[in-house]
Amino acid sequence: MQFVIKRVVISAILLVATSVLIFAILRALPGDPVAARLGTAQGVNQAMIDRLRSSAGLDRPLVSQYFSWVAGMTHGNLGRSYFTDRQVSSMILSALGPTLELTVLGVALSVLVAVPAAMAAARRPRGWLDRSITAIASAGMAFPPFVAGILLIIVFSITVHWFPARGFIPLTQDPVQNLRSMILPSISLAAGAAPLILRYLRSELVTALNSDYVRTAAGKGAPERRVMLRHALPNAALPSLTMIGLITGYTLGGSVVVEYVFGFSGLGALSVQAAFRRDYAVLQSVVLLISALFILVSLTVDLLGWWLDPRTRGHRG
Amino acid sequence: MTAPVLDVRDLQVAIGTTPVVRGISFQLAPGERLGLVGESGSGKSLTALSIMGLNRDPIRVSGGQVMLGGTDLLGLSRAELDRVRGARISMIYQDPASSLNPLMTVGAQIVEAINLHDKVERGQARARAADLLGDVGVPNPRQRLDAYPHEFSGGMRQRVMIAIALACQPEVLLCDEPTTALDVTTQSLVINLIDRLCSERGVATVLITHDLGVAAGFCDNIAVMYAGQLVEQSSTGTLFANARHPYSHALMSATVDLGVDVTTALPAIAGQPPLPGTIPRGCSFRPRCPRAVEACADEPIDLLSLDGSLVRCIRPISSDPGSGTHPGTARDAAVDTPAAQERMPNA
Repeated sequence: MQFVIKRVVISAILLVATSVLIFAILRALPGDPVAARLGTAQGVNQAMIDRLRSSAGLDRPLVSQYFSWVAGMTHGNLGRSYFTDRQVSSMILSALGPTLELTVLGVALSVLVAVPAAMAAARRPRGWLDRSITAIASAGMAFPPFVAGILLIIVFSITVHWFPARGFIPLTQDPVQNLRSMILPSISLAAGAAPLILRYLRSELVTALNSDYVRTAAGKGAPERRVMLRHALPNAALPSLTMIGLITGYTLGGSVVVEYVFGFSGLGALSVQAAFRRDYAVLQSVVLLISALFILVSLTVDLLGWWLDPRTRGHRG
Repeated sequence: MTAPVLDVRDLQVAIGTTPVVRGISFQLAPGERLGLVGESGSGKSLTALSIMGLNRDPIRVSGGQVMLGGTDLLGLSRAELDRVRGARISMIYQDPASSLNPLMTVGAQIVEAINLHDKVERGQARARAADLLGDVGVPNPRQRLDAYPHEFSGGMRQRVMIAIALACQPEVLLCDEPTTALDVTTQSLVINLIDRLCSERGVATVLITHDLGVAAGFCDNIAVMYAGQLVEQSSTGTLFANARHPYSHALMSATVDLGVDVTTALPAIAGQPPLPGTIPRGCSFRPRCPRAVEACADEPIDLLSLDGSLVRCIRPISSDPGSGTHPGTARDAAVDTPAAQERMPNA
């Protein structure tokens, strides 16, 4: 139980530190949001610039800006975009849906592919099947996601017209079309993520299959299938959880490329756009949200691993 | 003699292409206890694991037969072997700490052993598991079924392993150094437990150990292994009183006798056992043997019957400790023939 409390407290501290860091770094960056918004527009005078600055609160001291950001967060008010004047919270909310769905589907697909492939490969290490699977995995990892995405579009959208090439249809609007629009993006995401999980799980499985307890199970007369599923897989999956959590966290903020290729505006695309516009109001909240999700996912994975392992969960018997 | 329950015939095991077990044969009568002793690396554990079919790449059985009742275990498919292992032949392993699945309760692991061969209803299997746990001396067996291996001490874990091994009333139990990983006070408790349970159930046992004291107290017969071969096999009493092979003789002398003056250095066998692949031709103990002569380099040296023992030596130690060798054995006569000299070294 001590572990859980410690882990939760650390996560909370991490979250606060991250928010300070994000805020400070964005202010320290060169470039001015007002200048970026006005661009090379004609007839701009100092009075206009000052008015825009004060309406965005940019003329107040930094500490006060930070606390009004944090205070706003507690009741869901993240301020307005310096650039479009839209509510930041509504911009983030509309970007969060596609990203969450893409992440969940992409990671689920990766696990679904990686687990059976890792089991098949680990059965005979360095056998032909293992070599083939490992080679395909290496190729998948080396493949840039945008190339995978574009290839998928060429084959499945342009040539055979099975799936739409671009665009995101919300789940609430049309579940079937939503799923169809998510298939290609999920596959191109999984093309990069599944090999990572596969390679890690495979090596954990090889270790588990060489362990004494697997020998005991075989000595009892357990068939190969049962040895793999009941004994080797759970022991190998436990350390692999961390890897899956890491990939999930990374995907939440790092699927920019996939979002661009398939033309839907998720968190990644939103943060890149905001960075170009020096739109701190949007950027700080998006980056913080991505960090918070990352921290949350690793916390969840750590706690899950702790709970699943009787050695750490504590005594019961 | 009644038909043996286990009949190992010329078992050969290799790591890759290097032979490590070089033709082991022994028979185990119902209820018999056979000790397999020798230094580490002599192939004792590999022999037991090969009998169970539990070798892993690159270790594989390269020849021989393992007859359990009428069937050769080495000829069975995996599915057929799975019906025999755990049911008719079981094994207890060296390290109880790593031999239990850390993520499963002890009860689940015993129930698994029962269910794999006896499809009984859940509550019944659990009751049987609790009985087994009680039989091996785990206190509060019903409650302890739900405990995990890490909640047990080393000795208690080995008791759990014994419960698993005996779950389906096997005819043969292989014990691979079952007490090596345990502390001294626990060792005798575990050995006594195996002793009692095997007597009660009439289980024939092979005990692998390098502890001659343990072997002496437990075994009816002892087979001494050296460099992947049996060098001597006889009844426990005969071997301890009168070891004929120079290696077993040295092994017996190397055991600590607390009755003697402990200030003198403990006797040890000079030199190291040969590494697999570098086994000398002729007698593999020859480089370390104080009695070796030229003829000992001739191949092959067979296991010969000698006053009720089996001894692989052409110059065995006499049954009378005073006089030296048995002069003029059949082997000596062959020394000078060209054929004997041209024999190939051990591959």
